[in-house]
Amino acid sequence: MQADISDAEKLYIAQGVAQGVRNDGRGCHDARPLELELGVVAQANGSARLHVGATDVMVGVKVSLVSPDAAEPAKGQVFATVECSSCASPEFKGRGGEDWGIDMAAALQSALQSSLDLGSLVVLAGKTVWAVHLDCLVLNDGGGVLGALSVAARAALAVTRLPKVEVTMGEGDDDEPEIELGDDSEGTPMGVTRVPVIVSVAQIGSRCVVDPSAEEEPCASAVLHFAVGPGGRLGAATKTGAGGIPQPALLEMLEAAQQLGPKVLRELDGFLAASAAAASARAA
Amino acid sequence: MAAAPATAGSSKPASVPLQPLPRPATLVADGTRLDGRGLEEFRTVFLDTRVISRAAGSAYAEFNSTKVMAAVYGPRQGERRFGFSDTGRLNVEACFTSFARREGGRQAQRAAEKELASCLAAALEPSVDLGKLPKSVLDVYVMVLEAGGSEAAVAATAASLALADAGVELFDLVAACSVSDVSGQLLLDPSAAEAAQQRGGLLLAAMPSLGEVTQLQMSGDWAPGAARDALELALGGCAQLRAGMRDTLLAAEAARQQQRRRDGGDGGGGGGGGGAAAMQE
Amino acid sequence: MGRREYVSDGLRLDGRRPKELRNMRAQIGVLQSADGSAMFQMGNTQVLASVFGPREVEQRSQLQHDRAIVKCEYAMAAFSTGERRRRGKTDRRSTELSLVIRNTLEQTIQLEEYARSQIDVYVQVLQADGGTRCACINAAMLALADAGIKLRDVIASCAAGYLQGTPLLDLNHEEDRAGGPDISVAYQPGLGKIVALQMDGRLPTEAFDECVQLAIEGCKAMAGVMRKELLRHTRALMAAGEDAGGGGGGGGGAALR
Repeated sequence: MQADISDAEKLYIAQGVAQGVRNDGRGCHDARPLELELGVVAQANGSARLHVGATDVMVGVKVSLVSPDAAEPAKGQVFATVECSSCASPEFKGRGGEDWGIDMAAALQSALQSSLDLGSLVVLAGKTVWAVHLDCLVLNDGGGVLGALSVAARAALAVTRLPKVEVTMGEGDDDEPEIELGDDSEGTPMGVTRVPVIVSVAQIGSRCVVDPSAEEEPCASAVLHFAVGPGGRLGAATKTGAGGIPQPALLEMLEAAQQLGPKVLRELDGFLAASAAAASARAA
Repeated sequence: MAAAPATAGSSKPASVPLQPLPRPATLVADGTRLDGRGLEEFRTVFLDTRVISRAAGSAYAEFNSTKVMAAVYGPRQGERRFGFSDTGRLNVEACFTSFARREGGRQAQRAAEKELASCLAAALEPSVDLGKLPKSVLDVYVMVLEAGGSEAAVAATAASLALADAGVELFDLVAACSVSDVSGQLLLDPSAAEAAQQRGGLLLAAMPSLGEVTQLQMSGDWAPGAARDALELALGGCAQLRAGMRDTLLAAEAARQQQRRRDGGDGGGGGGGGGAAAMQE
Repeated sequence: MGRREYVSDGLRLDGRRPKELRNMRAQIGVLQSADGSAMFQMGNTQVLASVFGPREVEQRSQLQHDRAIVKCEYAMAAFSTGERRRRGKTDRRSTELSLVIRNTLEQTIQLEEYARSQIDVYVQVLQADGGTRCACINAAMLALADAGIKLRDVIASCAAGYLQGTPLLDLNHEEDRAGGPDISVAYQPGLGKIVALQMDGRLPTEAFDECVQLAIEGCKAMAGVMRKELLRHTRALMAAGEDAGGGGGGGGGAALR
């Protein structure tokens, strides 16, 4: 999970950051450019593959009809899993990377559960709801994997269409209503406007940098991951790394995340709108 | 006793299912919370050290109905499978008693324990001078006796107190507290009932004298400005708590010294001296 | 449920003729951190493979003094099949496939050139629509070549089946599910050797020969595609000169900027 770099290299990167220079030429508050592909998995209801620098992730969304949780009959369900492919690194072979995957899946799932309109996923109250499964695959770890996953997840959910369903009520009261799945080509999009992206801010020395690369991550004493929604609204936040963060730096990191988050969202939404327009132009 | 609603036409008395008590509609009125606290006030805090005699260091923290016991063992030699390391390792294990929480099955409990342990490890690690403990392991065990809200914060505070009690070299004490955003109002140290109705929750662990934050966990939804205010409130809370922790440690040490002097003078006798200091806010 | 027509008017369910392969695409150098990586696609089946090594042997007890050891791991993405299903990397199917892929690749790697070392091959199925076994071998083969590991020959793998009295090349998932006999063959076209052959189901002897011949023809066609990609990749590397990193061709990706 962590790039294997020597102490001398760490020092080099840390000294660079102290002077506001990063090893890939970015500024401290610049994120790496995103390279997104949509609809890469034919069998999924929505999918996306994202390259951010060397980081390479893939997200597939599958929806299915299930009976709702007894405690929350009027809510759909969202599940996220993250699998670290051994293709990325021999570290992930066998059960390696499983704990990391579980941590990231928990972060994504809680971000989605609080931002998706779960009420809109109900097909028949108390009987049938949509379960949305978000399966993520880490194909290469080039740093900032959690952030990349969140962007890919938002993109994959944005292109996901819930199949049309027709509910035929039975004649008597005891008859089970029949549910028929419509054609895949038509369907309703999910409301994803509130789904946040996760912005990672690393503290290297006394400065903070956003979207750390694989080489920068081991140099950081601490990394904060903020889920930032539209307008800079904050969702979940978590910290990794063994160091403490000085109080002024904490507020600076918070601000950096709140500035970058909406920027990434705007960029992503612009791309999604453009590709949707291109798709409908092709269809016409 | 409310009469069971009898259905017309049936003589069989309808059973009354046991329902949890209805949650109060408003948690805050006129700047006072249900338990009589102000918005930015802790619950009644009670801290104690050296509660488990076998451990190198131990502590007990009680924030009203949230009760946590923490013990530190070690440092001991690290396991061979982890290989050589020039820094020490903090091994944190957390558990809930079977009666600590109302809801959740075994599975949920185990997941919560794992999550709490990793949260505590991250909160405590920056405070311990692990560079002075090469090849060693410090075991920190935390048991939540009763979960009445803000367990993670109370557990981190208790664990840090136990580390200090064990005489482990620390950069600073770690104090932790939670803040909840309940309908736009920021509540310090929320109880379980308050946390259940929060729109956003935040846990902050800090080393107040160093001015460093060691753990931050946020959940829910925060308006941009509210997050900042909540952070500042939590930082203030941590500083306040640290003062209480320091007093507890000092009072315990003073009591021990007094005991030793008395033992030296009388030549034996005397049971364990209670070095507890209660902190009332 | 009535019997399904798998071949009617000389056309199969997906519109192919019986002896027609699906669209193939091979791409080398798709992952940055691996020593060698490749993607292989046949129709909707899509497989990613990466190779690490030769490197130091991880477990000393497995060290071989006169040759390299090969380790292989097969994994399937949860979204790769029609029904969503999360599988572990250690279930029986995965273990069996890992073994098949490893045994096949060991036939072509010049193991004695890399004494006392280990070569890791990881295969990740991104989409499964029949023929994953063959696609995995092809992808892993390309990844080995990309890693610059000495090989005796290219290995190409292809499957053939037999439904309704007709030999069919390169079965897709629907045809695979029909339960007819299915032969997958791995073949070295340069040496003219079959390195692996697996069959399930029952098949008349004459039809067996016909199916194996057909699968070998399929392998040759696959080898052609793989060879073309290897040449393209090598030329690209040469053109890029010294500073050719693991860049590869990121085709199809649309940049946001």
